[in-house]
Amino acid sequence: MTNTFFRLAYRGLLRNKKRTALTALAFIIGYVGLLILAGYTYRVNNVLLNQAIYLNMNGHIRIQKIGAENYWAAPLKYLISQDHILAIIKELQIFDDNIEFVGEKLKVASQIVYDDKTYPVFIDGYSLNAEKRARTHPKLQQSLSGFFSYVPTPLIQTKVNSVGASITPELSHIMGIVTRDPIAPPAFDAQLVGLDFESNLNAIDIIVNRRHLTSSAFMRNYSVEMDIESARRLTNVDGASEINIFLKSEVNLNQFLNNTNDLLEKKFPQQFKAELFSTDEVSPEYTGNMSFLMVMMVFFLIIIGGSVILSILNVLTMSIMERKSEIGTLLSLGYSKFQVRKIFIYESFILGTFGIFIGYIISLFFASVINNLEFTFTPPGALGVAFIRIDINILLGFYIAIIMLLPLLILSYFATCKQTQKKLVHLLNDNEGGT
Amino acid sequence: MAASTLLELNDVEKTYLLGEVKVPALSKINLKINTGEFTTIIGPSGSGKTTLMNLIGSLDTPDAGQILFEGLDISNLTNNRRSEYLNKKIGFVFQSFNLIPVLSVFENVELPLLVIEKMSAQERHDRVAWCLDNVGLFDFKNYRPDQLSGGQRQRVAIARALSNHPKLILADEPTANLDSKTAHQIINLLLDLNEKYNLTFLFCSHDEKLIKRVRRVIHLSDGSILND
Repeated sequence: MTNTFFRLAYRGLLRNKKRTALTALAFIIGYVGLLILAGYTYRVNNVLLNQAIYLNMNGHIRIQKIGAENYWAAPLKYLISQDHILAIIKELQIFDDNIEFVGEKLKVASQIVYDDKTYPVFIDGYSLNAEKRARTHPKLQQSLSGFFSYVPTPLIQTKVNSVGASITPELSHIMGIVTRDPIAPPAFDAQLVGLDFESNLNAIDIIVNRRHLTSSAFMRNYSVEMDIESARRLTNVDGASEINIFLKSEVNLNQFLNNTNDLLEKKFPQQFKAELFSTDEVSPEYTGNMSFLMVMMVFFLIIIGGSVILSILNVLTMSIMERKSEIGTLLSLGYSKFQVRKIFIYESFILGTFGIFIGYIISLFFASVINNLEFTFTPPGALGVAFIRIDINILLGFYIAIIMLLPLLILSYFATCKQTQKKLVHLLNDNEGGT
Repeated sequence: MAASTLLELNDVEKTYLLGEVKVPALSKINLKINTGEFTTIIGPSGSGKTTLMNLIGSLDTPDAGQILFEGLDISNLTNNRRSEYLNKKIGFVFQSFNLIPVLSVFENVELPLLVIEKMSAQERHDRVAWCLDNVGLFDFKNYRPDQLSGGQRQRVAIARALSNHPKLILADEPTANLDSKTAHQIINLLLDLNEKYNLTFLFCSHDEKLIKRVRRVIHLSDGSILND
């Protein structure tokens, strides 16, 4: 019987080819629009995600002392000691199958002295091994390449066992060091001065031989990156502000977070907490930008998807009205109301599936054209100029298909309900569709 | 063998509401149809013929009275019971043929059989072939309804009505849209099927010239039976 319903539905669509073609076109346009938008959002999410994890050295999971949101008020109090760092890393060995590598970060407020002038800075000191692995990570390189004009590199070695520091082009400009290429350094000597964590005045000499970009608008004028050992010398401590865990791809993040917090509570009660990179506390740039994008995506989804579905429903309703006699005939032959409704649902299904198939091919073509045209723009929180890139894949196409098809099928069912609820005698007395 | 009562109407009434005006369509109808009978209901336009057919076919519900089909009250069936009743017990032949235009002759006749779950494709094929043979249209099985004449379309409708081997075939003015020659051919076909297979027919028309071969004629006027 399913074959007959499909046959009825398919031939019903062919009854008025022009109307069917226009309806299919409306669906295709809606699907293409949504898929292109989703492809852009997907790509941007990919970029921002890898930025947050690898470029900003947050890792997938960040471990801090409980109360570390007050770190800047009392850094020594919320510092993780070297003994604790080693103990935590030892306990984390049970998750070795899931962990790619672990890094430490020390955050310091200081001042950079150059050419007899002093500029306030915030220093991020990274463990070198982790910093190198993160900044050269294939995921980061892949996601940024072709999207931004800037591709990050690790801290640059000055001599054996020593790396230079990095500042932002904006800070470089403030300090009066102007270059033609804001990313390429001229190296210069400077000094970092400030109070160590025991409030003693301290200073270290540095070589600034690299520039880096940051997605944080606030940090652009203040950000300095260096190795953690230099940061420790400046602050006269051996600990870290946070431990950053970088996971392998296939790990379930929420599950790992729960396991980590359970472990921390068990081994170090009431001392440490683990957080996901995707929270406001860890990556406000990521959550802020993604929230904005998702709101826009949902808005357009409702507008475009809603318009398309409603226009198809309008056409379907007209078609149902024209075939009241046919509905009555099927009911009089012993077909149930649900079986009759199925025919019209199949019509929507055939139309939608056809639209999805053609729409996916057209989307691939449009995405290819847009990507090759290399339109540029400067998004908020950007690492310089960005190219508009659309990433379309089968899974994304499938999700958009479900988002469009499911409401269409459900609403088609309800659209046919009204007619099939009518008395048989009234349906059969309408001879407009009969032969 | 004595014929058994297939259909029984007891004090059946039906009133329509046109705005605020109540129009009595049927008034205390009492009627019995036996198995194998070919009964014709004759009456002018507005006499209540179609209303009576609709009530018997469960296309509408009576306001009063009882309609018993094989002893079962069909006056107020649930949706599922009505579908089962229409599929297994009743065959309809409509005035406007009511064929599905996008299906072929074969597919139209097959439609009632698709609801029957335990029927194989081969059994369906054989049944449809038998039906089309009986109406003389087997060679037209791949034609679409719009490729047939009026008389041929009505034959397809008759074949469809036969396909599920119903207990009762209801034909509501099946010849109204046909020329007189074709109309007589259709009536003769129905009568032949009645004689050949002892099928029970309830046929209604406003044309008394068509009923010369019919044994039982019920005259309906203003919603009441004048004579039977």
